[in-house]
Amino acid sequence: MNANLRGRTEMRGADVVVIGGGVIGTSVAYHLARRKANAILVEKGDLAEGSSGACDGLVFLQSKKPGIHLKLALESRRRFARLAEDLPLPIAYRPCGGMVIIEDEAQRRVMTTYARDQRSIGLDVTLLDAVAARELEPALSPSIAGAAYSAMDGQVNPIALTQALGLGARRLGARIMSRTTATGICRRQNRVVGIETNRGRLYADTVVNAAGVWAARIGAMAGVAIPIRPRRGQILVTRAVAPLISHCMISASYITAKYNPQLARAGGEGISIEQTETGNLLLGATREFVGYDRRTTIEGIRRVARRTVALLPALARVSVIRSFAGLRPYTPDGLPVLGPVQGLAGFIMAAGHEGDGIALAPVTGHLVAQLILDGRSDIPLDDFRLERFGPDDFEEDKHAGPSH
Amino acid sequence: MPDHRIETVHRGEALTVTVNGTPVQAFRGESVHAVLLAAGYLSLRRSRRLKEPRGFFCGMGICYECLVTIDGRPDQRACMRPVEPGMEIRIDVGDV
Amino acid sequence: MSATCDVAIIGAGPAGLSAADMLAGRGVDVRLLDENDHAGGQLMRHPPAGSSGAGPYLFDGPRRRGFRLMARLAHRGVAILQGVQVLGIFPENRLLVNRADGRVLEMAARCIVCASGARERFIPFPGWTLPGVIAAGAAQILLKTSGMLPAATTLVGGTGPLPLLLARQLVAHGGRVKALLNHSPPPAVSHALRMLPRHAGKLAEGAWLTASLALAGVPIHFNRRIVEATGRGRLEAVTVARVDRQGGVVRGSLEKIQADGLAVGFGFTPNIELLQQAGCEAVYRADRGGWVVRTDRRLETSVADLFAAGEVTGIAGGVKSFIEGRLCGLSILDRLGMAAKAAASAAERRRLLRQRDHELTFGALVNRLCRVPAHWVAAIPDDTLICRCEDVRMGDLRQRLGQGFDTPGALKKATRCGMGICQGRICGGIVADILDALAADQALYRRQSPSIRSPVKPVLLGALAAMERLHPENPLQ
Repeated sequence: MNANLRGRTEMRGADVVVIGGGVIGTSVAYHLARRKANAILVEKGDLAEGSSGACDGLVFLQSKKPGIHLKLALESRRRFARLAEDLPLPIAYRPCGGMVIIEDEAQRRVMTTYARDQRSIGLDVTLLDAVAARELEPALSPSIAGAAYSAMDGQVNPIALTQALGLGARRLGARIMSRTTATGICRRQNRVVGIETNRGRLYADTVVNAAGVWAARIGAMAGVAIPIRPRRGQILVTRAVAPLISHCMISASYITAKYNPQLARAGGEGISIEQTETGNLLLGATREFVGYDRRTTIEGIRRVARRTVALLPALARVSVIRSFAGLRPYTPDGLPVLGPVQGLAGFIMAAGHEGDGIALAPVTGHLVAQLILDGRSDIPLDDFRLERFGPDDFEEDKHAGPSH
Repeated sequence: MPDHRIETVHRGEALTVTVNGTPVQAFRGESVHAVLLAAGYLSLRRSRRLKEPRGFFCGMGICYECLVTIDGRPDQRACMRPVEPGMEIRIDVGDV
Repeated sequence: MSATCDVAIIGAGPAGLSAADMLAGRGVDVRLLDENDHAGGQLMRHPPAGSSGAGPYLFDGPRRRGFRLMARLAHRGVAILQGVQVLGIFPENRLLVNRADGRVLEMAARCIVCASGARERFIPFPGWTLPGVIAAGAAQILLKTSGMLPAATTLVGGTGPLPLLLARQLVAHGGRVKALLNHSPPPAVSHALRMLPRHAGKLAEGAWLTASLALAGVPIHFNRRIVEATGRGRLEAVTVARVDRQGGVVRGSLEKIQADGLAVGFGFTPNIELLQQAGCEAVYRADRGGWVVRTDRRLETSVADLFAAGEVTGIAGGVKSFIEGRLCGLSILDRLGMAAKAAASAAERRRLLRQRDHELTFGALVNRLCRVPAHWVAAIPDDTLICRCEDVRMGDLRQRLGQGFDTPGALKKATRCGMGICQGRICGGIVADILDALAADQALYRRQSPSIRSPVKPVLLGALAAMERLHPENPLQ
């Protein structure tokens, strides 16, 4: 598409440049394009080559912290059905319901409080005892203590979602530039004027940092410190089998480990199980700070295998055909970084969703587009601003890692 | 049914396996997929999405097309296993 | 973890056996791990003891050498562990191994040799997934191991020398071969001249095979393309066409041939999945059959103490595999500080490298013969299946390519091509060929190597959950 030439034939530009071709970046580009904004998305590899192509597809509300986080997720969920209709590729969104598996009494106590808080925000969630849980999912181990069930949880194909958002954005007039790496942020005093890439300079009044696990690197180009770090999640993929489960599920330890800072720093785990529309089961995941290392490990494979077989014993007879590891963009408080940045006009954050990127992609795209085009958003984004972090949250990142 | 076994080959010990319950003669050293071929079972399963009939293809364990159930264990590559006396082979041509 | 053994050799084909032979009897604790039921890889496929098999074989030099090697190793008590799959290679030379009894073990070696061989390449055509259509190598294996013919009436086709050899083998054992359908043009005189005098023997082999087939009354055609394989639930007929120099179908040349067997071969490509999973650098070399593992002259990969030998370094046949096995053996003895006198081993190394270069040169000629021009791939009809595991058609790939998904990774994500149980072993090369033929930025694919993760072969989740660590005191049984 023709870019805004600004009087110099060799320069290209747009109103908005979005950095990052994952689910967040493509969602922002899509929502901008729907509003006829002039947008360019740059992605250093292919769409969904990073985190959005190495994750499960859970659209889980139960795992969202009661409060603004859950509120955001509820709104995002509302938008999935409409997106599924509007996007040019099938995204396999299924509001199939989800379960948080409670493994012992200690977890049950935590979950009782947690569920009550969530209900007060508007989530539909019920606590089930072991018998009721296994009635809903007969394949569950007899050793579980129960489950929290919500009909509002669901799943989607995250790769298809990302590619569909990207293709949809392009069809609505956005320019999607793959294999284009951002190498610098151009600023004039206290405002952005564009970005440098390996394929030339792009002028824009607004730059959206949707670079996920690379968001801190993009921030550094602009002189902005951002406490987003990669956290590795290893996932096992089984071959396609006849339906074994009909809901997606996570272990209660997913929630306790996610929000307990001590457990979070130690790594903890986030066990999740999903059977996709093709019949493959995705079993995850570890939580490790290993820089940008996307290899899977013997220990990671073993741990995920043990924990998931413990929850669903029938899985023992299912073949694993490969594994992968995705890097999730972690923030110290588990909430994404959204909105403008103080001291640098035109630089908008849309990153740090950690394991919630897929679920929050629809609403993130919508709100960020609103913010850019209207100067306001339906849901205020103050709780997600970059300035909420204190000096303790900015660790010396020893794992800066290679550029790709 | 063509006679797949080459006449001039001197075979090992004769043995019997069953295919979906039916006894089938075989010889020591023959692989499961060869025995199935000789007994007329060319189609071994259905493809995952389109449910089309499939049989062995690469013969060396790479393509995973020749999957059959052997002695109760599913998803065995027929081309990688030699027959054993009394082996129970099940072919599921209605399988995913 | 501390090493369970000195050297783990993956694959007991010519290269692996040769490496073991070099290391055995010198106080080196060597474990040979092989996925198959019997050692020998593809080259030394043989019938069991007590059976005569479908022999004798022509031009059998490498095979006989291999059998002598196996006998020598048995005599020296080198254990070859059959039915063992290596699921992954991890830092510090740890291996995750799936044993024949289904138990998964973690073990470690001081050095590893990966000699995982090669697999065939394919050019899909409508109906290639019908039962009865098989790889040329599959037909050879049926002959060699089970003493069987693939069908009552077989058509053989493809590129390169394997279809010619197969056709002759089938005829020699009483099989009916209706025709040999070379997709390529007849070998040019200039090509033959280039082969003399260094490869005169191979040229003579080819001539002998051709003459022998002709004498048996088997029509040998060139410039043929398989248009379609048809049948109700199984192969019944094959439609063939003559193609012109541009690969276009010559009008009026369509011919439908009744057959219940079709064996096709289009050359080979290395099995480097395990090496890629281990983090080794791979490089694309058309003269060596596609993506090969990068090694130095010691045959060490880019991962320390991980060596590669045989077809994985480049498709060039059995003799090169024997040579590289020995070279690896020399390098490892050196690494373990057990090398023979320096001068002697340097001289042997030089000799072996010279022989290796000779074999690689011939291999390059053969690999070129096997290559299919891009326009054939571009002509694959839309309804043809490309990914057999996930039922993805050429039309699906074309459509997604048109939508801008134009790299192997992007296409894989967009179509699921390569995400099935074989993890792209059959379709990966085809997708690369399709991108070569249809996509704008061809140079990109020669730089891109897909990321491969463990397990590289399917394994039960329960076995992974129960995996054990092998300690030096408990030898791998």
